[in-house]
Amino acid sequence: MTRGRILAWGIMLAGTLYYLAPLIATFEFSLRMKRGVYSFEAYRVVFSNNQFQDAFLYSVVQALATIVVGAAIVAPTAYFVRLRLPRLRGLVEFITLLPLVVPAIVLVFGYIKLFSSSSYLPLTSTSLGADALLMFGYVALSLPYMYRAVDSSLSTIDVRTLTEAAESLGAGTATILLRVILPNIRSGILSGAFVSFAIVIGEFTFASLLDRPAFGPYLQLIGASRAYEPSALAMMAFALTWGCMGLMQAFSGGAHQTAKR
Amino acid sequence: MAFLKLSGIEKSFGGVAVVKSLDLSVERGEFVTLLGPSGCGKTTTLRMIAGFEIPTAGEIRIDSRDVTYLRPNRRNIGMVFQAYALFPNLTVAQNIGFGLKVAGRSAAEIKARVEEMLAMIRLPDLAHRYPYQLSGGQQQRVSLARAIAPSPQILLLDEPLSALDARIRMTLREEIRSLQRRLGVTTVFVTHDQEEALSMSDRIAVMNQGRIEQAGTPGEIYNHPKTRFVASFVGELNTLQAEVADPATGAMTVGGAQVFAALPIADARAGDRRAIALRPEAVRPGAPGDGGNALSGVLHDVTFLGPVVRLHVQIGEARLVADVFNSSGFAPPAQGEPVVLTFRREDVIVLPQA
Amino acid sequence: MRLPWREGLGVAPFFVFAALFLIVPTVSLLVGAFQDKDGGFTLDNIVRLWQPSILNSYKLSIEISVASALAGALAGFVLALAALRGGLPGWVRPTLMTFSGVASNFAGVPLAFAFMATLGRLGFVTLALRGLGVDIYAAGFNLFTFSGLTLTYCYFQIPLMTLVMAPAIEGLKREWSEAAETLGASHLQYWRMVALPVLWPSLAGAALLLFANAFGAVATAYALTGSFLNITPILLYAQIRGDVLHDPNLGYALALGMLVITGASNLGYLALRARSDRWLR
Repeated sequence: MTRGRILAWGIMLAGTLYYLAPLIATFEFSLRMKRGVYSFEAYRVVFSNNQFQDAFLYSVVQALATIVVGAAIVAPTAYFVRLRLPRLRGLVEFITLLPLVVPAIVLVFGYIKLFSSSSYLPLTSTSLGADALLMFGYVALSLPYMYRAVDSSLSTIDVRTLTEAAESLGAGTATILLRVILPNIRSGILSGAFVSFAIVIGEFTFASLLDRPAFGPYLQLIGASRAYEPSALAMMAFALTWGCMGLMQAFSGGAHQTAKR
Repeated sequence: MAFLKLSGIEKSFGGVAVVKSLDLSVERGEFVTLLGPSGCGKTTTLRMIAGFEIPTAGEIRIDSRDVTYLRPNRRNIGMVFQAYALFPNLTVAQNIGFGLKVAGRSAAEIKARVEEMLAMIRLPDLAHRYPYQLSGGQQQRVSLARAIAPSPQILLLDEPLSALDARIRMTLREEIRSLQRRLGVTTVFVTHDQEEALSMSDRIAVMNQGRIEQAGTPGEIYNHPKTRFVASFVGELNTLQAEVADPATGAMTVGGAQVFAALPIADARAGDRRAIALRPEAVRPGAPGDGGNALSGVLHDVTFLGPVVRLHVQIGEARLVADVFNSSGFAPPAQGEPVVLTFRREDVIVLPQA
Repeated sequence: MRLPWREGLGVAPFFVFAALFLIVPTVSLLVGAFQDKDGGFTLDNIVRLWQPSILNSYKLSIEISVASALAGALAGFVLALAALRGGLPGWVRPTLMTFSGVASNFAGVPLAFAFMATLGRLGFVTLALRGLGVDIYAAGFNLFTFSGLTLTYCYFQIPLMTLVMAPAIEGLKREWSEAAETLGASHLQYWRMVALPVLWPSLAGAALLLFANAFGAVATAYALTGSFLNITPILLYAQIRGDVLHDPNLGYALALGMLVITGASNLGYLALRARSDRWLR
């Protein structure tokens, strides 16, 4: 083996240790709830806890809503920009970059200011309004990834020809979108969906400042008060993220997505 | 004594033999082309000369020195790549001077040499441009200058013209050749384009499936191909099935008609089947009594190629192509008309297999 | 002929959404930064950003972001180089890319928990090191400080760097190193004279990206160090929660400051990327 290759293996080893150490540590710690013996007690406690179930369910519902609304907004836009409004592409892509430039905490601050009880759209004053606001916030956070996934999926099908073929057979725009385009970009939507899911489940800033009973604030709360359960939750979160990103990659054919925190 | 000598070179990748027992000698100042289809091993051979691949067997000598296992940066070789490979962060001048800078020459020396090179490739005004600002042809000329600047003992060119359009390819072909003649640098050129090979080389080595099938001057390769592959790869070719009648006199029969080859047919007995090959330009319509060989057939089609008119003639089962100069007096026969094709004995190429 | 309103209708939801939930909220904050209590125009809030506690929070944020950006950039680059150009078997690259995709998303509260379990006072690695005779806490290390937070940030910074630099490293054409070799250059000379100069816009751009990423992060810090480390996002968090500055408009100015910093970094990243794209056309 050449000297360079040994160095490369050494670096990979160091990297692997660094990445695996927290995972191993967390897993090991999460097994220590029962004194003196390794057990999954911490996990049992966590899963049977009502607050956990409520918070997790809340976030799951939010995630699903985010995915549906996000896809509903992104898919037609990506389609029309590609097909008929290519000059808007620059503007649209700029907008999809905004959530990456504006930190989440600044954005939610803007939400609170704009939608406070004394403004035109007092979303923050009702529970349902705040839920909706949170969902829109999540759509904004996942917008870059959803758009990129759908757009790249659209680039692999010949949108123009498919549309013209469908039109020649008498289909209207809505039908084309729903019956022709959507089924063909399924993988892109799924790819975006899994990233969105991962983002929403673990999200803290928005949920905390909008005071909603989501999974993120719940995690933080547990961490402040319990010893072993946080580790179990962290392992869960990691497994969930891994699952989501793995599924996202399976549907995206290689494009890599990252979320900023 | 050969300046560059490859002896018994073999190269396998993971059990697959890409180059099989290759011997090649290149004299100092000679321009040798490795010609062959993709996958024949010519690029691999070139890369072994450069040092990017190590042969699994055999040795390479440059100026009597064994360089088989020597690292590329110690071989003093210039290389021009198909994809130009100019360093994008350096100007044209800096690219050309790269080899000299690495060798630690003084700034004044480098400057003088770079100017010399720029004049030689006739691009003196582009010294401060970056590669992305140049056309493909310009990039390739700079690439050539960069390879030559450090005065390498051997120049290697890996299909340098394949990425350029036809017109630039022609001009660059001539430039490379004249440059090489002027500098007298030993050159190995790799290409799959037989026109390039024929027009530029002192000698051509035709490669197929990891072996050199024939090495010789362009004239030898074209006029006296030794194998069917070489005959068909270089230039256009007509092939006919023939049976040997009398090997001593070179008499053969082609579909009943008698055809004479110029020389006695080697290693053959009466009754053996052989293929004979004829270049289209060696075949012309004529009358049976013109002396030499004649075959009768029917005109199938006429193609107008500009300077040349191509006649497609059906002779028995085979279709022959005859290229005739498009001179003003020439009136091609009509479709379906009987045609007699004549060709000289000397132009009959007898191939070793049927 | 198609009427334009149909397409307009198709893209309208996107623009309405963008306006309502991206542009207007942000602009509203920016406007608020220049307003006083009665809504009149003033530069006073900006001026009052220059008080020690706030300046310190910016300073601290910038320091942590720079530290984690540089550390993450170096480690991520080296890791990507090793995997992509180190002559390693073919399965290493996709494995690293997949894991980097996951790790760059594994941030916030769970990451804080994970590092507590690893490098906390009774963490796995802490105890393991003590078993080897190295007591990091006695030597002055503490997870809940600047260095601990920086180290934790690296967990998502390094993979982000790897993901961003991978295409750039793979864009280094093999022919360049081969051409350099035939011209007599050693490996080191090639890197010094060609590869690193070609890569540096991507490197710098990616580092800026990492910087902006760290600067805006709040969840990890909140979960790990609470309000102990007074970085700007934490300060802003406290301000939004309970108006600790006793002045909403100052809070807006604080947000404006953050936005200016992340905006500038991202602009820098885009500019550098455009430049490197041009070179490598």
